[in-house]
Amino acid sequence: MSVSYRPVGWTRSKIVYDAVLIAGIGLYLAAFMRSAPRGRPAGTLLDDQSLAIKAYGSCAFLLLTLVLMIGPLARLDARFLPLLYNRRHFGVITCTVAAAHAMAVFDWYFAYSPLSPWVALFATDTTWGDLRGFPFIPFGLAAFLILLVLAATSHDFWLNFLTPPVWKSLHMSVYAAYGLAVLHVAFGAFQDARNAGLPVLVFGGSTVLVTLHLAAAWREHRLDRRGPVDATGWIAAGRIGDVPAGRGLVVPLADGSSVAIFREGDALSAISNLCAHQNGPLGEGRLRDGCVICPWHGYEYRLRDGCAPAPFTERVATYKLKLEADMILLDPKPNPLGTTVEPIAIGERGR
Amino acid sequence: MTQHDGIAGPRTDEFFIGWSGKAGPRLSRFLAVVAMLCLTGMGFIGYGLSRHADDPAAGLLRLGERDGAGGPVRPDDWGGEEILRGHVSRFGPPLLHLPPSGEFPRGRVMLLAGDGKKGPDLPAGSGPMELRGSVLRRGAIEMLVVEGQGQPLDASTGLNPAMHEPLGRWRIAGEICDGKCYAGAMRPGSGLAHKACANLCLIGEIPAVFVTVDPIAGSRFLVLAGPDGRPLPADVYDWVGIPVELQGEVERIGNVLVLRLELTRMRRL
Ligand code: HEM
Ligand code: FES
Repeated sequence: MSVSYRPVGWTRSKIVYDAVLIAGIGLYLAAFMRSAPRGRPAGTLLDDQSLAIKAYGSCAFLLLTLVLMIGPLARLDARFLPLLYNRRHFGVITCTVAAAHAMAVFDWYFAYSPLSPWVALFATDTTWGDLRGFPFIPFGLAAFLILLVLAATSHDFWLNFLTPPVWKSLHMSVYAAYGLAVLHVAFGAFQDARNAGLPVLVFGGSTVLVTLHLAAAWREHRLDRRGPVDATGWIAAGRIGDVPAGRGLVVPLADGSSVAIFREGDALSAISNLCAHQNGPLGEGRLRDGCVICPWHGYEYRLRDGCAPAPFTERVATYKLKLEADMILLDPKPNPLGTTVEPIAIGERGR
Repeated sequence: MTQHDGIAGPRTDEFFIGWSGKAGPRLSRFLAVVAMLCLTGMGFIGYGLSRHADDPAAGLLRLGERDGAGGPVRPDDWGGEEILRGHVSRFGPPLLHLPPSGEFPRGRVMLLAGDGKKGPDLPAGSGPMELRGSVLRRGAIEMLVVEGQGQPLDASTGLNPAMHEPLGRWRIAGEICDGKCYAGAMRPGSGLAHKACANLCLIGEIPAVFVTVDPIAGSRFLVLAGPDGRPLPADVYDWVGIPVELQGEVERIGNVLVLRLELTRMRRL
């Protein structure tokens, strides 16, 4: 939680996270450019520059696949949540590897010419009319530009400047970047591929990714089937017994947002399920001292009024609850930010 | 309760708070296993992709010259600097004609390029010249990469053009490549992935070659010339790096074939 901006708030977990990531990339590149070529007959070796282009390109693709797997994995199994937490560093590092790929291409394919590499980039392949020979480099360029914008706006400053919803939708374009990267390889390297390695990486990777997203969405869809709205507008949110111990019961609303109902001691409270930081799922957070801790980056909100404890200033909306027997009813209209709502006592019903 | 004091929840349900950087022992173990899997996985994938990557010389849609065992013909190592004297012709791209010898009874013809993706720096016109540079060689194709400026020699040197022999009109299937990469500068670069790079060479006046599916009069490649022997027009860039069928007059000049391309008869395969 920051009230003033620092370039990066380093913690031990972030350092370990980045170290593992960088070690993985180091291993990949060393295996690709150093160990594996030693196992090949001399005449079949690529020049070092082409080898580097392929190593960085495939590494960037692999990283992009991995970073996009984290979201659905965390939705399917909460133990993956810590990987989500530092995902922005992952993204920036992926962009750096993609930049190394692009620079290697510039220094080899687009160099040694009287023409400027920038002119060459746009002037050397313009066969737009032929699908079997369609220019594939523009797809890579577009993917890279998206990664660059996302990396540049990854800091909390931009999150607050753009507001979380705008930031979040901007960062959804990482999926467009992934699609463009698939097209880049499908229209490029695949066209001449004579072995299955790259196709397996690209189609295998994207199939796993799509499957994970579908599995996560299916799971959420099943959890989301809840009671209908009654005449007064209140929603049947669930039974007291449905509220998991120490966690929130997540109630989806018709407008696409959702509410998290928590039980602390013998009383229930409801706040928005969306963290004011990056829309993290507060319902999957934990309770401590009357506050909900967001599972993504650890922002805290008091259950009573949805406010972060001082000196922090973030706020989420509270919601009104009432009980009918052991059925929890929820008013889907959010209270104005900062409204205090007394927790409703369960009394005998929850025992 | 977990070891995070005051956080409600069953013991098995460890919770990680990002900024605190603490994870319980079970979660830590889980994350350590995930990290190890990622690390070894990345090492293996990198090794596997590179170890089994396509043989670059076997590119060209399996076109091009084959060695005795049916394998691709590989580029020779770059030779040292040589000084060569011969006749430079300007029919299509400039070609260096070296005098006939036992091995090359009709005369030996080299393609010419400059340093990088540029054509050679030659005196205007054709005629006897002295050129300095190193030779790129892959099987039957030879290209002199000219250093500095070629020097004109006077006509009395007796350096004549190699034998010309018209072979008639042909319709041929293959792939257009830049002569320098095909001769081995990029060991060799070919195909669609290499198209932009090849076009940059052609724009820089590196001669184009047409690598054929079937041998034509004993050769697996032809030097491409524009209609009437003029340089290739820019339309050709769209036809590089993909399977195409070309038509035109073929001529044998020394030990190489030259195809005078008829632009209206190019066909995508
Ligand atoms: C300015 C941006 C980019 C340019 C100019 C570019 C250019 C190229 C070129 C020329 C190739 C063909 C190389 C070859 O096969 O020899 C290539 C291959 C490739 N690129 Fe890119 N690219 C860019 C961005 C990206 C991005 C963002 C990704 C992935 C996230 C990517 C992934 C790949 C992959 C996986 C290959 C196949 C490598 C192989 O042949 O094994 N590229 N790129
Ligand atoms: S989304 Fe970042 S702390 Fe909640």
